[in-house]
Amino acid sequence: MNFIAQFLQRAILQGTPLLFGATGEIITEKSGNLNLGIPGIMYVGAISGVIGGFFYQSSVKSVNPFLAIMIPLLSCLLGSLLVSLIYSFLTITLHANQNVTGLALTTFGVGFGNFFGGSLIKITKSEVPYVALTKIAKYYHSSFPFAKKLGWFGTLFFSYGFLVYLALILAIVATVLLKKSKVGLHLRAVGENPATADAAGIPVTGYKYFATCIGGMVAGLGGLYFIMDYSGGIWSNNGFGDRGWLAIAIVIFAIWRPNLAIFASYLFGGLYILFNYINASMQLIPIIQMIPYVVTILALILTSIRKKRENQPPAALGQTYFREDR
Amino acid sequence: MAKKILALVLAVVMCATMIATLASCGKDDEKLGEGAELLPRKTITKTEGVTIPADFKIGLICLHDENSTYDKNFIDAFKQVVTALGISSDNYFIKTGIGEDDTCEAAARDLAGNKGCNIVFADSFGHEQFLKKVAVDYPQVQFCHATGTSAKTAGIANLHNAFASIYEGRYCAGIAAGMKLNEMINKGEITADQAIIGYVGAFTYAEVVSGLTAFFLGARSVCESVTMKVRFTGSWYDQGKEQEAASALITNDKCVLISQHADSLGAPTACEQAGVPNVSYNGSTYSAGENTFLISSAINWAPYFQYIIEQFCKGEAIATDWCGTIATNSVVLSGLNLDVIAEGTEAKIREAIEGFKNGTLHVFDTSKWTLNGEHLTSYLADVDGDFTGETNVIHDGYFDESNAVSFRSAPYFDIKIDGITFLNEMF
Repeated sequence: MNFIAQFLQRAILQGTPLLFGATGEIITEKSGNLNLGIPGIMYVGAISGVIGGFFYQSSVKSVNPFLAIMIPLLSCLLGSLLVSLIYSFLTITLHANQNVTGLALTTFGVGFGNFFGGSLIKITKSEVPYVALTKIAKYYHSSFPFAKKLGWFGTLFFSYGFLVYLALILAIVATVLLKKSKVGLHLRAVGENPATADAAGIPVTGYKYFATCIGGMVAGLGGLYFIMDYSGGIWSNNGFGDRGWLAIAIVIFAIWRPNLAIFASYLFGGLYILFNYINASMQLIPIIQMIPYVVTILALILTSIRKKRENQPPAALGQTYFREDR
Repeated sequence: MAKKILALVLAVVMCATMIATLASCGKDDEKLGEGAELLPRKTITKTEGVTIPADFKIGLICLHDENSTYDKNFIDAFKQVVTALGISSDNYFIKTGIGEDDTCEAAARDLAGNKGCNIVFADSFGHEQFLKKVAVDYPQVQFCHATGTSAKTAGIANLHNAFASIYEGRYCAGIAAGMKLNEMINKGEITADQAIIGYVGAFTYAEVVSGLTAFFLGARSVCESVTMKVRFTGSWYDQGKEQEAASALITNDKCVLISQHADSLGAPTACEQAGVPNVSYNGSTYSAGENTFLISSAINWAPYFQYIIEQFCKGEAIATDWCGTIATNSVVLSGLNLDVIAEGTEAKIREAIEGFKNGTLHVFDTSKWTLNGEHLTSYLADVDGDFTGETNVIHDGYFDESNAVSFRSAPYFDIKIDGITFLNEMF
């Protein structure tokens, strides 16, 4: 039981940044905006949190736990918001191509992260190139003190930092809001047919801006989680890897439902670490890690063949809405 | 409704976690910190009588940039040497992000041809084949290459290989690990047979096997009952994979101390989070693991840079193959984490360093390890790089690793000795 609990715990830890990214992207896509800039936004979210945390940690002798949590958190949200606003302005206001803008933002975000990450590393004059925010990260990583006493149950349910629970909450809240609330209905209408929504008096531009910015901020938290919780406050350039792309794959795998994204994220997280638990030979590791993408392709094929209306992407996904278009 | 309740429950759990986090805060304990480096990087001073001509130029080709652990080690050493030797910034060039492909050839041609470099140095194993191509076209330029294997066999006079006896550094770091295990046994935290070290390796290359075996033998030289389990990640740099491999070693394989030969901070981070002692590599990671870091070893490339520049400027030949040692300051050791190490560690390590310096201690002493229960008296190693063993490298009772004069500088110790379990390799 312990073995399974430990595997699942690691899968959840690995899956959490994916869950933030996927939830954020689903919220964004529901408004009809295909934001391929999510991997870049996650990088920007991470480095923004690191920059905020770095200057706080280096400016005080003794760290205040409340500020240790809030400063990186707010910095992350602000950084992610700004990049999301760039995407929104380009695609919604200026009607730029969403794919091109998104991909450009991903390149920009990764470069932005590595540039400022590299700059901070230079400031630290560290022998090994990394930035250590361990003093503030411990507050992100702290879990319930009684978790260890509860054996496998504690390991599986109570051994996480608060961001793991926040990812779950956001996914569930997003599910409820999208399905049950008026705002969710309006948002889905905008994503399915913006012209009709517009005719019904729904402020299309406002909803698109709102969803893209909120989605970007949620995704940015995935980057923050990876650095401050999973990595224990250690920033290394390119450390976040390709998790942003995995998050986008999860959106398709979860057929645009945040509640399914929870399962999908943990599944992908589990597949990422599986090689350690089945003692797969080194040569098999790339094949095992390929499985999530293969599964995503299969999900795409299946949803395309079955053509169930509720399993399809928003009808106007990726299309620019221009009221005067005929 | 169920989802709303679940969201509410989770929100309560999250708030409780945050409250628990805030409540658990306290003042940081006063720490002794990291001690003085046991084998520090020495200051570079120009050798008397050597004059560096004003038009001398040198170029460095790096796989990544200075944000990579591996390349930063080269770049820092390079800058240290050119500054110390008074080479102006117009006369040295650093090309970063040069892949192991034809961009390396283009970079080497640019340095040798357009920039007029007298020496071109490349830092990654895969650069070698491209340096070979360019070296033939620029016979007056010296091409030096770290970790390469073919300078002796290629028949190209201006191609040179270099490495360092880092296995000696690993052995010393292993002593710190073994001493820590002894302390844990003596305190009753583990039993003697629970003294299991976990090791995260990048690939199954001889370079990694040599390092991990040296580390293990260092630990076993002070803690007889130690065994080791190794997990490979198949990547030189993947924070997630390295962290997960280390976590699996700790939780499932019951390893009580971890070391690694891969470039990210994954393993030290996993150790700090789990409270398991860690022996690092490539430089001190104390600030990432104040509660678990023990010691770190690294190669110092500055002595080699100084050597090739001064040899060239004196008009003397650069050795076809060169292996730096502790004596040449090519192997360095960080300070010990005084809050974590076991008592007596420094003395034991200094004893080993003296043994290496005066030649009385050999890491791969064949009386100290066995293969399938047998002590080896001979072993055919792959020294010429054709992946088949052809040269006996055991003599005088030890496996003669990285002997640049008789064999080659790049490691060729690829024996899986008894006591070490490779959990996920496949040949």
